[in-house]
Amino acid sequence: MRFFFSSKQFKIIVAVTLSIIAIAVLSMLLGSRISPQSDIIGTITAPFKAAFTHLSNSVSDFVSVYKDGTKTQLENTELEAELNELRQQMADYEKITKENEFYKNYLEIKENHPDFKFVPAYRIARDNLDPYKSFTINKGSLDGVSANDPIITNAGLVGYISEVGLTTSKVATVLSPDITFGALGNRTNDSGIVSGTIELAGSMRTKFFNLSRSCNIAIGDYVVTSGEGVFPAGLLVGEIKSVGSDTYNTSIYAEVEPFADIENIREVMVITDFEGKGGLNAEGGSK
Amino acid sequence: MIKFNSSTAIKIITAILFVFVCLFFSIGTIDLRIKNATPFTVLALLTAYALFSSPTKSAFAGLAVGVFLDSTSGGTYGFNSVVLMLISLFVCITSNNIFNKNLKASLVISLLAAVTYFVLYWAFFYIIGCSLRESLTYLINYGFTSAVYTAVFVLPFYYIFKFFQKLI
Repeated sequence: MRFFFSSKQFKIIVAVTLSIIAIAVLSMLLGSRISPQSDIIGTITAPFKAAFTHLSNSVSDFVSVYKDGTKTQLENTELEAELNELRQQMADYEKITKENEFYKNYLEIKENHPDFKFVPAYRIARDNLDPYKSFTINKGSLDGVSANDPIITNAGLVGYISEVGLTTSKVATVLSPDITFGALGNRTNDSGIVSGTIELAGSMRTKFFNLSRSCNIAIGDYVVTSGEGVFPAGLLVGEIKSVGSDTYNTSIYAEVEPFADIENIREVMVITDFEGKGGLNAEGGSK
Repeated sequence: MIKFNSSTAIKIITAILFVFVCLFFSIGTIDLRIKNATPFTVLALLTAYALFSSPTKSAFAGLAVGVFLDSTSGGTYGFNSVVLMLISLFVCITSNNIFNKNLKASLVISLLAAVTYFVLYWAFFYIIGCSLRESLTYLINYGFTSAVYTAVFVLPFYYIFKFFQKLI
């Protein structure tokens, strides 16, 4: 052991550690930019991650179609082979249908918001240790993506770009307490603030709080962005699942289940430009 | 000649194992979570590798895995690179000099390594800028449960690397 601590290898390890710490401090000072070593490794490994994601998605799609279809036992092997072929076709068909639906829904959003500029992206990795389900997408600054750009699916709001690299970007989801934005109840127009908490993240919900005690918000109401904060107005956030009052009984809060299936997200759209972009940042501070 | 071939084959298999475990972990296709406990399979693999490896190899394996993980997680600023490298080195040195490499001792070291990682993760990301309630919720509900669950995953990797060591 003593030999190891006085060896050349140990000195190299200490030097590498110190350089990483120095780069980390610099990256923290630079803000919403992926650290250089992560950016380089992220760029190199992005195609492998994308290929692996695509492969694993195809396998899980095929397995789910197979599972759904084999409730009865088939005795005839010829029929089985034919059935498998048809299932494969079905999986391909479903994939195409899903893709069509995906783009059709975005087209509708685009029609409603002509000022939006989209960049399609898909998830290539996720941070499994993050309780707030942050993930990485395959688009970065080279594709026109910048920090704080909103991320949506055809179902609703997902989050924003927390760090941007050359070819990849990190996404913080609406479950995270790092996100704070203004929102409205769709039925009553009651306004409040949406931000995540660690207690609710486990059940895939976020918190809609600071609602006036006289508000008429109810379970089943939809929550939409009000345009205060980093997100444009009118984006669907989620559905109210429960309503309560805060500790000091001064205001009302609601638990919101996002419409976007954050846990199983595959494809997303990055809104790279919209009217009024450049207001507050995601944490609620000014840019 | 035979020794050289088996050693090369083992190195290749080890490298492939690392690549697959890292990719599976970062893509998250197979969900192994039990409530909030998430197994950090990459740490389990790294710990098992460090038990049967030299300090230098363990440290560089930790560094490589850490840099890869930093490229997939947001806001870590090189945390994984440094911490995994040091943990890997710590596991290797303790197993070679303080403990031995039997199953019990290895499980204890693995648990220590996992607890160290999650406590450091908590200290870096949940003490500053989080409320006390949020910080403690992470430590108790996510950190400790994940550390214990991670230590369980060391078992299969322990037997794989033990088998490899016998072959060499």
